[in-house]
Amino acid sequence: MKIKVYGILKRYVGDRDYIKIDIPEPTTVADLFSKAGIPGKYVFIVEKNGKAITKDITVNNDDEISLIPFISGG
Amino acid sequence: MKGVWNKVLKIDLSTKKAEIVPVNDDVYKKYNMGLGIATYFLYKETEGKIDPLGPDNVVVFSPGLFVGTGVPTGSKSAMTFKSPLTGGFGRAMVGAYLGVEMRKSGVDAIIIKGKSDKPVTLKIDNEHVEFIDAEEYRGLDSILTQEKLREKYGKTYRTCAIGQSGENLSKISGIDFEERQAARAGGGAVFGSKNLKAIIMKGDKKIDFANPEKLKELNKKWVNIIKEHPATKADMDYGSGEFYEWMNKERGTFPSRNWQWGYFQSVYDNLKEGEKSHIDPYYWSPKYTVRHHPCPTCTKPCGRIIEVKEGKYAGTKVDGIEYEVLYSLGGVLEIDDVEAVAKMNEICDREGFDAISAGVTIAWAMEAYEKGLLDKDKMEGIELTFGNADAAIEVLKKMAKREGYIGKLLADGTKAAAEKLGKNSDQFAINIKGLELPGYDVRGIKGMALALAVSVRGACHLTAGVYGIELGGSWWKYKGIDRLSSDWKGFEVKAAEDLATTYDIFGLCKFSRHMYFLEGMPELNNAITGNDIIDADVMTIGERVYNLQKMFNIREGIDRKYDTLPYRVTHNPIPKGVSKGAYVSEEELQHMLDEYYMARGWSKDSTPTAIKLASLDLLDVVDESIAAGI
Ligand code: SF4
Repeated sequence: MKIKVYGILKRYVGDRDYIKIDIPEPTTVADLFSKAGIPGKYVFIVEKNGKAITKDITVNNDDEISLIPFISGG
Repeated sequence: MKGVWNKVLKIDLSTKKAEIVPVNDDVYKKYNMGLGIATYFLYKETEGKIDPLGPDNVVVFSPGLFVGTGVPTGSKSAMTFKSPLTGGFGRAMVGAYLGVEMRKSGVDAIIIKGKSDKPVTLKIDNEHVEFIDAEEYRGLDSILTQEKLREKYGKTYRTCAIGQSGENLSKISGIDFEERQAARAGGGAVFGSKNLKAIIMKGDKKIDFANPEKLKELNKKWVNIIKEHPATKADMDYGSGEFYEWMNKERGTFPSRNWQWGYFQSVYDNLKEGEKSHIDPYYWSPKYTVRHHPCPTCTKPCGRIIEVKEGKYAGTKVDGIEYEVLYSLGGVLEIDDVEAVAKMNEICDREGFDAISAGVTIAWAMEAYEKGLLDKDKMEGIELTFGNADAAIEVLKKMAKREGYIGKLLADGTKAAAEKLGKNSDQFAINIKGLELPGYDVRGIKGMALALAVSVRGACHLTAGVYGIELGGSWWKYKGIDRLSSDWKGFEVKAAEDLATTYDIFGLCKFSRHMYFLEGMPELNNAITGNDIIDADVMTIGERVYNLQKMFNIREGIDRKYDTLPYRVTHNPIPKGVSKGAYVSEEELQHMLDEYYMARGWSKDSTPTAIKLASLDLLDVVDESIAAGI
């Protein structure tokens, strides 16, 4: 599955724009964080195929996930 | 009351007289400090329909209650005036060290009226005012002026000054406070019209807190909460533009090329894997940052000084670059050269321009130029096309001096420029009530479109600040917000405005609003003042102050007709990207306005009703005859 990461979260995935990981079984977003090595507390918004979801939702290998940190600025 | 001085300082520049006026506790209980009493005194000390650039206009400056108390990010002071740009309520918030001095001075606000016959600097020591000749600083940039004043009178004075644009009465000029700006709505021109070049201030008194031990304990708690918050590191490392890439790639709501695009198409359509836009803070911040530049008592400074050491913009040193400037001097001009953006940012700060308004005005001129609407013979050889940074820099300098055809045309912002030029150029003039829009493509953020349409000071992103709620979909009490829907936005914006107003009253930075929310404020207020208010009281104070600002506009005749959106937002859908096809139809806008006025308890033409004003205990200040209803 493709996980797009933004902002400060990139530093946990080797400064890449996205990572690809394989999840043979459907898994919750929270489990995904530990698999990908991203600390969950830094993730503010999780989106599955462009739609916001909560961290207890289950995702599949063919979903595209975006992880967005807190936004303060503007 | 504890924690305040129960006094304000009134200064008349015409007669060169100053007086201390006592203020009773009731005023603080109703309006508190900062934007609260600054709104109250502006309303009281002015009449409707005065000339904003005449001696009758008044400037009020008041630090928020938390300023000078050690509350982390309690750093903001409020300035109010009648805006020469919008003709309505003018407000600018600033992280001013001068505000900290005022908190220690023995007065809670200064109220300046009249007009000096010659350029003048106000030197204020505690409650004592001196009127100092400022002839020697005439024409000097705002930052140099302050440096010279501190050299002459001592570094313990904290300062503010206007640059050339303010002296030349540009309606998009602001006031610089040691490289933080009270930028928006034309306060610089109001200073200029009064021949007021600068203020320097020093205070050496100690605020008497109701419960100093409790305050110390609370401050410690908040320092820790802020330190541990997941957003803090990102803000400190990359500043307010941290979410720039996401705005382009995942939301498609970063307006570019004078809002012809909803994301920076010419950059993002050509980036290769791993490459970054050059105005993305993740690209430039590690490269150019020299040091942090915090507002007073900020423990999570987003502010930074950046320096360009090589190349044609070598020597540029500026506090920035904030998110809004990435938009106004970057994307909207189609410039992805961070060094050029830094240079323009520096010119804006030194000459005293509001960088949002100045950039958006040049973007308008670029579109007009490319469409062949400008008189090329009078352009003095400047090829003002999108992406041409050197042309933009030259034009900016001319605007500050009101020099030549293009400098004169643009010096007062997009509304004045489009009126002068005609030829339907208002259809791409990106302003509301005269104030240029900030960097959110509200065609794809409909609640934010409403927030900009109804804001009392024109297109202001911080009056409600709902961009985070809309773009993230949830925040504080808000859940499941759909940015492309126009339903329920009236209620969302109303509550967000009242909450944001309380931040401006207490002087808390809105970049810490997801830390303090509402709930953090009452106990801090109570430790400082000895009052015993709860969160509901805080919201009521916010609502009261917001209604008084609205009544200021109603007194000027600024009602529903002025709560509009730029033509481009209502007629030209976003052409490409994640938000492709989005725009706000006229029906959607009217639907959102109806709902917003209902949520506010205002009439259909947006006038607060007598019942609403009575419930907010405002009828002793406002003239009931201009209220709606009954
Ligand atoms: S977060 Fe930024 S704007 Fe807010 S107080 Fe700190 S330095 Fe100033």
